[in-house]
Amino acid sequence: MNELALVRIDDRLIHGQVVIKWLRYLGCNEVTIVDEELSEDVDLQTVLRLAAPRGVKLRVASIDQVGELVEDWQPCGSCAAGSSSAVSVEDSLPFASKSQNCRRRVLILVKTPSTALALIERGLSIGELNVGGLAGVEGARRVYRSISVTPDQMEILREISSRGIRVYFQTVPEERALELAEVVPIPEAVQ
Amino acid sequence: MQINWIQAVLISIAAYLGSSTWFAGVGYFTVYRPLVGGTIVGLILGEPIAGMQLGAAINAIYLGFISTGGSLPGDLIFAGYIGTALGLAAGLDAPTALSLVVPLGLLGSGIWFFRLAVDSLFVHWADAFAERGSVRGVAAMNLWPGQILLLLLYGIPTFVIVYFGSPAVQSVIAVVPPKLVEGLAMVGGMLPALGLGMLLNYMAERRLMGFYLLGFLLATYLELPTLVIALIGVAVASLHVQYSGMVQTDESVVPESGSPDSTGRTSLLSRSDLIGSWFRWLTFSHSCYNYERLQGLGFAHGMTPIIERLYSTRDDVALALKRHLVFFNTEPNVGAVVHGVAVAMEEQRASGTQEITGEAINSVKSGLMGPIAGIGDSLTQGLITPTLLALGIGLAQQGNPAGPVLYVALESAAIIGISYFTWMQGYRWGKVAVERILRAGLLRPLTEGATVLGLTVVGALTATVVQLKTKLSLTVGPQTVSIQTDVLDKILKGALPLGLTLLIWWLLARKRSPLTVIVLVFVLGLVGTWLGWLGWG
Repeated sequence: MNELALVRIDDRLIHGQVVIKWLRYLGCNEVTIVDEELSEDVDLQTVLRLAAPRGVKLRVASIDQVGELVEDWQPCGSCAAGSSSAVSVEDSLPFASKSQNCRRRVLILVKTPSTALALIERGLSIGELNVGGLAGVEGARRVYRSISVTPDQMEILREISSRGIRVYFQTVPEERALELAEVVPIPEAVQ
Repeated sequence: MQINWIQAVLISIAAYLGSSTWFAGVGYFTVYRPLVGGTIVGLILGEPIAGMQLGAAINAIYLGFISTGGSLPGDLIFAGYIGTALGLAAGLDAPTALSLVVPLGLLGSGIWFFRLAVDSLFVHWADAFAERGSVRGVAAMNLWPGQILLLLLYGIPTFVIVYFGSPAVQSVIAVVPPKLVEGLAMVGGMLPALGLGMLLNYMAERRLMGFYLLGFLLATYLELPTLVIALIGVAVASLHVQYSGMVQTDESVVPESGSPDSTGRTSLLSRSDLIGSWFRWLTFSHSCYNYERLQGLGFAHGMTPIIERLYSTRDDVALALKRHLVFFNTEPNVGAVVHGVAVAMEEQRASGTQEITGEAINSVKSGLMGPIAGIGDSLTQGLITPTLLALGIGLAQQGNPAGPVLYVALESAAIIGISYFTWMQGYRWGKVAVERILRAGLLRPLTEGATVLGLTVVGALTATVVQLKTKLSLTVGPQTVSIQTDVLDKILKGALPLGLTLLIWWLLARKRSPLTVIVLVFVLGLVGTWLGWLGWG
């Protein structure tokens, strides 16, 4: 059984922050990217595979393929949904032994909030969602550090949050996380 | 010593320059770092060697500084430039000054965030120039507003703190009880263990820790100079890489395509266009770094000579400028390959020989920038820089000016070399360049070897730059046994610094934040000294 460590929204997928900070912090040895376009772009998949650090397995899946994979991803007993962090400190220590039942610790990366919602609707059960990187595009409003969100994306994040999932903005583990609730809602008129 | 106002101005300008964009892309790796900054401040104040040694010690605390969004809560300019200035002015020895430096670094840490936020404004000015098809305007917006802002953000506080602060520090130290000063010195001796611990947390793998031990023992028992230990590190690294069978001579690893895809490729760009574009990317990629587009404006600046050459109508120019002003971020040196690829694609688009849309160019950029950043940051910020820094710090600490000089030379060569190589590969080979670079199979043995070298030097540094001794002694009858010299040193010299560094690594691995560790070190150091447990004896 695989253990799901974190689901992260980051439109740059595997990059500096993720590779250097998050994978180590979470003790993950597998990354699964869920993205329609990418699941069809074999060249870019090759690049991503080569870019993944040694010892980290990379999988790329389309949203439909996720159905089979979802059964595999269960939070371990120690990472119950709704707890304040997705993983307990003990489980992610390099010094502690890994729990017996978990073969792989998985980080799921998606590019957009809508993909994250699609995963949740297909049965992925998570306690929290990390919004780590969204580029500043037209109509987007900068929310925190380099994370910019369009009104549509904000709607989706609120929808996810209303299902009892903690949505927070955080670029790297050592910096403070910003909760969705702390973000001033975009007035309807501005859209 | 008194710092006169001329020196204060010079130091302020130096502090700005340390954060500036003018040093061909190596500024962030050289003048930004306390090792170099401390030496420069020392030169200004007439004490270059003392400045260098202080800068080196300060840099040790920040050895684990990897910026992919910030790591240690601390600003290197405040810690390095202002810290060295105040330390020299107050005549403090390195350990005492170090405990001053950490609060200074924290004080300055808001500047980074403020700068990235305000720079977002300048991007919009650049957008306006792009709309009008003004290549010069876009380049100017990347260059001037952001740099002037930096000059103010670093120059003014530096002047104020250095000019008015140094007499203040001197008078404060004079009234502070000697026990407290001793305690602060103790803390300062322990703080470098934080930098080393952070680096170990990032770089070390348990199977390679033997090399760390090797470096440590060479330094503490054989007392070899740092450079010699580094050379021994190179020797063992190359042996290790060969004997562990990492060097692949397997032909199947070599990429199959024999030559760049030159079928139907038109050449519209001259050599000087290419060099000009590369050089602008190298130098100005972070000149106006901002939260909204990150390196986007810098990317566009790098494209300006290309756009000028390829497009002549105002609309084409405007479109091209806007195309490259979008969000972009990667590690800039290995990531130079993406810039080179974009240039090649623009050339083909302009020549019309292939049907290439603007969206296609941007989708290649955005697809590649992420993974390249992962590799690039691991290589340049996570491996090459800390290893060379450790070497430079070790030398500088021993009073050898070769420390900063050698560091700047080697680091600059590495950064500029990587940037030029990957950029040109990207231009010649297009998208395939990325795969070529990754597949060459060179990457694994090189990074493994570099990690071994890094660990060896860091082990040596643990012995020399972390200072911790106990004053405790046991009296049994007529005999007094000093725990430090009669017990600890007889078991393992340097046991306390080693133990402290490993302890800090353990704490960091347990997800304690660096700030927590700093507080812990302060408490341990001050209380330990006050209780009479810690001290030089």
